[in-house]
Amino acid sequence: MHAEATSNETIVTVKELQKSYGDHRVLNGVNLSVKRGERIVICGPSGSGKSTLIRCINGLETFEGGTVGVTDLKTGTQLTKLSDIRREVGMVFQSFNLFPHLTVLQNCMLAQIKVRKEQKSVARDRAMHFLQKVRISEQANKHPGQLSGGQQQRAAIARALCMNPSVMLFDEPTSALDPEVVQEVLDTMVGLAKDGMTMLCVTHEMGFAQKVADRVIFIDGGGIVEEAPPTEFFYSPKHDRVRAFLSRVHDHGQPVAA
Amino acid sequence: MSFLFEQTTDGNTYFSWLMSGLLWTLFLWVVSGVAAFVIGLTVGSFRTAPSLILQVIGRCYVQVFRNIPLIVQAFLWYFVFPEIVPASFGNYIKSVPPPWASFIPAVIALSLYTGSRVAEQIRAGIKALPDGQLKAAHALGMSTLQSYWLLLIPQALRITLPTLTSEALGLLKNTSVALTIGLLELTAQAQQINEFTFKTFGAFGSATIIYLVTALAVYQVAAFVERIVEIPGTGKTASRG
Amino acid sequence: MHFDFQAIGRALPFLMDGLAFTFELTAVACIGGLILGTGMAIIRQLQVPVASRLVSVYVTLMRCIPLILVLFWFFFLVPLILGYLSATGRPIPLGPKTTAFVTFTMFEAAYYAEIVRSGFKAIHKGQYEGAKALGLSTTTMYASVIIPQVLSATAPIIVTQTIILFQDTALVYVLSLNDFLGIAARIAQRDGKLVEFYTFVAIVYFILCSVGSELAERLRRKAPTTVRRVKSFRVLGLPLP
Repeated sequence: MHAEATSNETIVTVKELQKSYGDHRVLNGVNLSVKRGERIVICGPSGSGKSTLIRCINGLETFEGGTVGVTDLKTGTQLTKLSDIRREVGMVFQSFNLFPHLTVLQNCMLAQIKVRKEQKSVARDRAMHFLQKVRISEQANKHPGQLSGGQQQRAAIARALCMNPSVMLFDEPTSALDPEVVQEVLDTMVGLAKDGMTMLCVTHEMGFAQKVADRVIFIDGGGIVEEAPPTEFFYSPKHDRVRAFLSRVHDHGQPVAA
Repeated sequence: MSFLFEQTTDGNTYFSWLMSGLLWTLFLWVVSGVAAFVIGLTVGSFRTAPSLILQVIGRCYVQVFRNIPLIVQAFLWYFVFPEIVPASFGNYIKSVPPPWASFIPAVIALSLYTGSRVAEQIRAGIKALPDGQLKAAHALGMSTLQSYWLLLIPQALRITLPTLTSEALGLLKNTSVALTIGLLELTAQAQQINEFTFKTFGAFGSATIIYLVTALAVYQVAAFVERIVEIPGTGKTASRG
Repeated sequence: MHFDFQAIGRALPFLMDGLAFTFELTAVACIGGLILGTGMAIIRQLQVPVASRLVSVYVTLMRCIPLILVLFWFFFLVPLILGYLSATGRPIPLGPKTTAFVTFTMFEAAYYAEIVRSGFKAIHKGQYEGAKALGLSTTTMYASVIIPQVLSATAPIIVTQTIILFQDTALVYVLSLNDFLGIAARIAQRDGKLVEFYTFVAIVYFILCSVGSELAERLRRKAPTTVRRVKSFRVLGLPLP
């Protein structure tokens, strides 16, 4: 499952990122570079700044130092304006954040129409296409409140995909789900990876990381402690903190690696 | 605003007119407030009581006094009531000198109207209590009356204190309705001063400032009391699970 | 005591005219107030410098002083302000009717603004994030995502406030306007039939408000709640009456 990144295009560049909440330094000079088609899993203890990192990428968090850059795949230009960046970056949240007053279909169509200025019919077709991809097309006309957690998260993934993003960010997408439905969402994400989507994923699901990731990044105390391909990361981590973390985190009940 | 201290036709200052109006406003507010509170407690309890009759009485009361505008209720008590009671009583009422002739109907109207609103809040407060409270009280041997008095109402009050304080502020503003039946409360005095001096900004401005200060003072006191009275584990300072 | 039904019958056309004005005033103030109030709430939500503070002060003012005093203020101020803004620089007398429309719209806007503001609090922070992550502009975010949810969540309270507005319109009595109560009072005083007319007004208001509240209750129960409903609210600053 470790297909090489298909080109050398760098999609996301993070340089010396600094972020503080008041006096508390959350990110301390983080450097990260993501190539097209790469799948990066970011893990670490609570409060380590992993969510903050990806939220800085699409501007949901502001930062005090360093730079974040996202490349538009189609035009190849480096995007710096927040609204442009957000168009190219899709995000899936722990709490789904679907719009409850709209149907699933309308959820998927809204941004296409308002931001990408698509025609309604084009938007609808694309929405149905992605809803089919995540296998909830029959729920298209239901409201989010009528769906299960797993279905809602898959709808959220489809909604993000409808914008044809260059890169998808996942912020603990399965942490709020009942155990029974975690797998269906993970499977959807694996399918996305197979299709070559560039992904940055903050998650505790180590099985998913082993299966899909090109690189696993461990963040602790505001900085990247270790960054390695999964085999090396899980079976021969260099740092004690990583080892300690791995021994605490179970892959669906099984302790992972050393 | 120095004009306030000029002489008026009746030998006082306009400032004293304002103060007189303020006193009547406050007096009206306090008396109606206390009455409304008592009425509200009673009717609110009725609406949640195990007795069907009491519930119906409570429901009817609230329906009637909430759905008629306050000014209309004031008119009813001031103009209509003296006419529909037996002649001797009616004549007695009409012989009551102003300002009491205006004050008393105003108190009645304000108390009944505000009482209906307080009743709804008390009812909501009691309903918000865990279901088994009344049963637990009965099991301990308390009569229904005792349960309400010792257990349900005190808890409901602590929960509904925020809405009750907003009701008190509403009542303060509603006292101005009394001017329509002739009571020279604060707003009425401001209007009087305006008509005599034509210093509209000063006249209305003074009244505005007084209402503002009173309202903010009430709010401060209310916030303070709420913090003290809050049931631990509920309300604003509780942690959200 | 003899109740002269015929007096009411004769006056019915005029009374209905008055009632029509009452409805008109309510409708204008409701729609205008809601639009203005939502705008004010958005300004505060977005924390627009200066404007946000002004709105805050305005809302506090409107909620602290009696409506009757506000009516007096606007009756006096609106022609002045218009005159100031216009070419001539002299006060433009608007007439009590237009003043009433403006006053009630501006007054209710303050209350609706607080209701909408509390609605914002009921919206999960993630909604804003989800919208932003999709690249929606602030305008689209508010128009298509946030405001619809806010209105849905606060609809019951908005309806309740509108019924209160309907009752409050009776206060234009102090401006001698020809609303339902105003016309009834005028005819009653002319013909000496206070009992009949005031009772009639009370009954009509009672029926209309009861029906309105009942409809509101049905609506609240029937409408599918796709959004979490705001049941009660205590906004930062003054509690709402």
